[in-house]
Amino acid sequence: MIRTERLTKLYDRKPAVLDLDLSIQPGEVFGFLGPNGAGKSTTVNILAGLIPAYSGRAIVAGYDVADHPLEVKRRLGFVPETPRLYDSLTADGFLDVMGALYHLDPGTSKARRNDLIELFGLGDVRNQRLREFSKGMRQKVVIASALIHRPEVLILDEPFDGLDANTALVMKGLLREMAAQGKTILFSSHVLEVVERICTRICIIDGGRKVAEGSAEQIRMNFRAATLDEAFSRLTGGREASQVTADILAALARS
Amino acid sequence: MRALVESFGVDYIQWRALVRAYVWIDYAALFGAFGRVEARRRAVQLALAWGFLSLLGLGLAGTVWSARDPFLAALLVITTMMMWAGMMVLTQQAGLAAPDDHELIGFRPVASRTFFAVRLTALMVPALETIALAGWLPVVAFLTRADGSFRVALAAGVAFTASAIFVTLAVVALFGWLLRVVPPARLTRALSYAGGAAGITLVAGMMFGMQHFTETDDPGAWLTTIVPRDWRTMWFPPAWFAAYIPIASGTGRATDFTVASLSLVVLVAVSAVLRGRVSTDYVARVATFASLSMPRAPVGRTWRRITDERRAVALLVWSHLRRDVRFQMAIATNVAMGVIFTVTSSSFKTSGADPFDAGEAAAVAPLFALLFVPTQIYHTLVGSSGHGASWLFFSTPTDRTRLVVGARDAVGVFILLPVSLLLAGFYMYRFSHPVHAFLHATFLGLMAYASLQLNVLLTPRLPFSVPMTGLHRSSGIPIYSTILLMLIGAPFFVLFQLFAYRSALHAAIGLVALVLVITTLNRYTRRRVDRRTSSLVYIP
Repeated sequence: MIRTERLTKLYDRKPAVLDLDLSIQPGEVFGFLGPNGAGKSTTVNILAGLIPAYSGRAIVAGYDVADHPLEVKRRLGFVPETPRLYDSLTADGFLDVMGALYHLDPGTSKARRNDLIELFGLGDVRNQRLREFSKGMRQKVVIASALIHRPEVLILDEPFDGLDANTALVMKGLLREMAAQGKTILFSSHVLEVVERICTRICIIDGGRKVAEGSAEQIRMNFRAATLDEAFSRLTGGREASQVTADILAALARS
Repeated sequence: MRALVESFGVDYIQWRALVRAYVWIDYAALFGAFGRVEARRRAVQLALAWGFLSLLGLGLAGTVWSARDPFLAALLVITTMMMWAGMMVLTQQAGLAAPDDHELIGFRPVASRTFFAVRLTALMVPALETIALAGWLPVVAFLTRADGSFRVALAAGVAFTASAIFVTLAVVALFGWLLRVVPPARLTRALSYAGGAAGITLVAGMMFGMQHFTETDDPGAWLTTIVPRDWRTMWFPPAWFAAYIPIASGTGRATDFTVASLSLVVLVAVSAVLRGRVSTDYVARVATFASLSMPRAPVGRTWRRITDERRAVALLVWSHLRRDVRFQMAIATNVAMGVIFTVTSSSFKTSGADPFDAGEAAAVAPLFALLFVPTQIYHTLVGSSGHGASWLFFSTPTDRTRLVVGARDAVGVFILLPVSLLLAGFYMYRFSHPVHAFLHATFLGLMAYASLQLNVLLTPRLPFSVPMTGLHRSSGIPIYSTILLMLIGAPFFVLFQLFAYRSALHAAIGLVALVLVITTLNRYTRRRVDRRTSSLVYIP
């Protein structure tokens, strides 16, 4: 499970996340939505133990992230928004290093990375350097490294970024199945239709605050919107898309 | 090894996996990870670096062979080694406060102490590598001296290694302590200042030592006066390790045993410091530092008269000089070292003396600074942790030659020109001959610029476009460039200096000639850069 209690993070005294309460149960795929700069990545980075919170609590897999970071990290699989890799390593070498960090014994590590590499369609390039990989291939390696230790909790920040349609389809199914097996999944994304399709519950944040929570259906009904896009736009103060487009074109014509 | 690592509370499996990965990353290019051409280039660079360090070691070995007292010889060698190791660690200390891999490792179950140990190892490997390459010849010298033996040579090897380990641990303890006690908002500045101050102290100390050493008829006697072989030796850290030599040769006195035991005490003490909160709080501090917000940047310069790529580069360099503390301090440290080298000259007699009166000795001295400092500044300008942003240079219709040449000129205007003015002020005060002061400062400024030109000519690179990865970050390329510059540039500089300081008239002729050389070099640089930049590729 994942829980936050009045989670707050300030940047230069400005709140990036403010008094955020979340509760995600095992078996859930929880969608985490928000416009750019809403505080999504800050929240997931706090949950992953990458940055400290200013105040409040973050609990992952039953452990407080601030008090027991290693217990959390042992149980967590994390896909960051802009993942970094050791570009000089091969895909196999990178996963080998990651396996060692989770104390997988060499035999298990090898078997798991063989499986993951094949399942993600990287078999032919497993011994190529990561710097030669395309964005999508790199993302597959990152996802594989988040799964290699069989985590209880998955936190995914824009995991479909760069993935081809087939892999994205596989990933959607995989997330549903993993949730069905009792894993807790937090899925942060800008892509509303994907979130709507795979998430059992959704939280929308704006300016670091939670502005809506519930199933896609509940959010639509509560805000009397025809689609989740429309509800999202109203909740996050977005202007009418057609109007913004017209304004941009007018500005381009002026200069 | 496992027991040793685990005795420090470090997870051996994780430590080994990460260190192996980093070592591999460091040597990946050499083993063809980036293609055959790059592998060959790296091999040449590495061979030159090895040759360069071995050459330095040969000089130290000469001291060992010729010195009467092996303790004093060891003292000199270890002092030099500790300075090199210290400089090596200082140039890479940024990796401690802002490790590149925190984003990758930070969310994995790696304990703070293990992460710290990995960073420490990453700093220690290049320091030990440098010591091994520069130290093997002095070890051979201790073996082949008239009073040498295998035991003494072994003791020398152990002493060199232990001294390098001590320096690394001490520097890391200092920076680890700063990381703990300085508020995160001031940390970058504090670390940079500490790094700069430590670097300048090391170079100033080395200059001071060299001056005294070369001034004295009997260096051994001089060493004895500043490092007498009694209890006062305890205040001089290299002596703690040099004392291994007389002990191994069977001539050790009670003082030597006491002093040698101090080395073990300090190693244990520094290790204990590192084993404490410096390492246990490390990841938390790095995380706080990583999530720090940057203050808002003031509005930049307008420079309406400068247009095109030169404007882009000037703005880029200027903004780094204004706001990037690491860049600022790297430049400031190099400039400060250059100024120290330039004004102290090679000996006390000619230090800061008017070269028109004092002769060539005062003029030739700044040569090293002229070759080394612009090289370092150029590589600071080219290498960047934000090199990924250089995709802009490759995806826009820019003239890359203008970018490269513009970066060089920005360094000339923003750095070399103010430094030359500073030197002119110093020489005005020192020479009491304004024309000599002006000519000397102009000479130095123009030659520094010519050295920068040579750097650009030899290795044209786009500004802020080369990654600073791996353990070696800054060691390889400057050594490679320095050797090339010594081969190509040194005769040119020496000739100019020998000619120009005969009289004010010679200097005036020399200045005109130098300007002509710079103009010619400029033309040739543009042509060569034109040819070379087409082969530059974006490094993601």
